[in-house]
Amino acid sequence: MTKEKLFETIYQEHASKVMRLVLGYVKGDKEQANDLVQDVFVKVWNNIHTFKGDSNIGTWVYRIAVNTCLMFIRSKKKLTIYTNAPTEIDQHSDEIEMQFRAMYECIDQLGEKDRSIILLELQDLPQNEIASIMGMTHEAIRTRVHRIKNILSKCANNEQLRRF
Amino acid sequence: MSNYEDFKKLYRTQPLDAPDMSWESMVKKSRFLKKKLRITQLVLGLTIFILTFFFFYISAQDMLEVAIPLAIMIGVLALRIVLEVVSMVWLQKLGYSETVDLFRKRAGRYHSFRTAVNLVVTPVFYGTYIWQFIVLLPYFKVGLSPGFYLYVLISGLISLVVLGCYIGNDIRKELRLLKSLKR
Repeated sequence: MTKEKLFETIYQEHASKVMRLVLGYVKGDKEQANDLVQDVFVKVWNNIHTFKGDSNIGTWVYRIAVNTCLMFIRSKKKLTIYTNAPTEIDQHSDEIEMQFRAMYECIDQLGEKDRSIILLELQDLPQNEIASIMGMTHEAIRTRVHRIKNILSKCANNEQLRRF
Repeated sequence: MSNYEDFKKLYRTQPLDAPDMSWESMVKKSRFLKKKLRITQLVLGLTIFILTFFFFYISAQDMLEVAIPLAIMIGVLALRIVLEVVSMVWLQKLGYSETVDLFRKRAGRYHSFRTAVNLVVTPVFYGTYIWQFIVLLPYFKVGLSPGFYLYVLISGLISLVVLGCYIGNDIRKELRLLKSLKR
């Protein structure tokens, strides 16, 4: 398989998932997320030769995505919250938008590591895969996920999310 | 844990949008960025060559009192350029596909290096450069026409102020980055 063909396959399969992950780092700002996804895939292209096949290609792409996002948020000032809520009915979409804002606000309160772990968990990644991305043990991830879930549950118990 | 489940349900309702760019444009962008980096490195390398050439072109070596300050000015500028190229190469080799834990450690070391360059090396180089520029001014006054001397003086001062602001801004950015890495 040529480098271009491999990249195309990776892009088709993972771009949307990476987009959703990245949105969690930029408080739902789609414009910034687009820039970041571009940045992620530029790095995927540049590092494609280093992929040895010893891990799942998805795990490898997620590592690049998380590391790129961490470098990005460190270099940025505080972000304003934007959301991409569906917009069928105005009143309904307003309510959903408020829920999205509250959700991103909760995620944003977490530290760098915790935020990465929970965003990967929200993507439905198995804990052993999250451990492999983070470079931590499965046990450490399990404990952290439990703790973060509690933090988010408390945070989710605010006015906007309670109505969901 | 029903609240977290609600949270997850809400997260999953986000539309799974594809990015605005196609995979072909990503490849094109990657190639363009690589080319841009090579051109920057080439320009920086060429600057060192031109400075050295200028030194010998004006036969600075024949006049020791001018040669030493000029050599120091060119030397600090060249060293700073070398450090910039080292930073660029280092940044390229950080290993974005490594585990997050390992990457954070490497990024921490890289930013410590950048902070040392910005907080210690650059101010020392900047001070040395200004000092040698001041040392050279009397020779410029004697050797150059009054108009050209005034031009060298004013453009030199403006360049130093602009460079000073740029360095100050860069230092602030690096410090903010390093602070977040320690969190």
